[in-house]
Amino acid sequence: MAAIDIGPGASNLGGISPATYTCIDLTNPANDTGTLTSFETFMATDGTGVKLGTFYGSSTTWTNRDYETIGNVTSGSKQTFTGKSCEVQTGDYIGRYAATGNQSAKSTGAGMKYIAGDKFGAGQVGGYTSEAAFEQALYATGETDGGWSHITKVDGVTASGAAKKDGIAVGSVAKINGVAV
Amino acid sequence: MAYFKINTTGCGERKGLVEVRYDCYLSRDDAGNEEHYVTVPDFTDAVYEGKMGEMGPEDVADYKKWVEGLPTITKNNPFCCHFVQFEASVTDEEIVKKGDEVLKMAFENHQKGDLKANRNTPFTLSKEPDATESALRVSQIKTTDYVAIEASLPDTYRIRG
Repeated sequence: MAAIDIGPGASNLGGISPATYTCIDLTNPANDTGTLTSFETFMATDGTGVKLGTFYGSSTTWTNRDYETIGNVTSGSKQTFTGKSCEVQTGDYIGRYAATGNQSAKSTGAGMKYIAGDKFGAGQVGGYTSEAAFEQALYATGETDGGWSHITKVDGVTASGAAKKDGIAVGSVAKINGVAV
Repeated sequence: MAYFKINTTGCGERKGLVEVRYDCYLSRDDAGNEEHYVTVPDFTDAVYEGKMGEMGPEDVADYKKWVEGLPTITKNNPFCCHFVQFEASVTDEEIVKKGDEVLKMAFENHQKGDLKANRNTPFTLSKEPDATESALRVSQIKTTDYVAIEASLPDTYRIRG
């Protein structure tokens, strides 16, 4: 399995990006396809209702591929969230939403797309606005999915190419119908 | 000694399973604690009166100056927040016990500077995941006092409220 990373990095950037917007950061798109297991963020003020996930699209129209509900996030230091299972494909961008609390950010960088409201899980959404130079304190890492070695096919799909079983990342499944994978 | 809390704001139904968030903390005597005992601006009742654009303050330098003038507070932030997925049949005791395993793993990986190495043990699904059943179990978890649960167990675990 190969390593995947996405997003600019999570540190105190000095400025802020406000709550109640879905923001997609255009710095460092995902370098491969697989599952993100670890997320990092830096909040300038305490956040509630935080969601992080992956997006694809272009111009003003973007789609949330998958997301993780994080919950509250404390401010003042990099916060790391592990044990996650978020689908990502090559070229995806990292995005975030917070009900309250400001994300650490700066007005330089590759830019971002943003829209008012929580668009995670909303499918394809139009009307995003561009911020040409912007960067948010976001980062995630994961691995390409290696498939299983003990079985060859799952529901007709070659196991080595299967990312999930019933929506659960293959890395979390030890057996299927009693058979070790 | 490091300890953990169950953070109910991050507990939820996820892909038909119950997902529990464990926040792991260092104590003052743990190596590396300085990074997580942070002194931050106290934004309580503070209102920035400068001009705000859609994506934040228009005058970033002025905003930074305002923040630097705020009173500060010191707090202990988690060094890691780890999520574990369970079937809906998970017991409160199993949730508490798992916290100690998570803390041990996260602490060791933190000391190595590699929290990304945190992994959950693959498990066997006893049946197809049921989102409704798991959501119901999550609602119970959100209102459970796990410190009290721990106190009723024969063994001790490093949980705090």
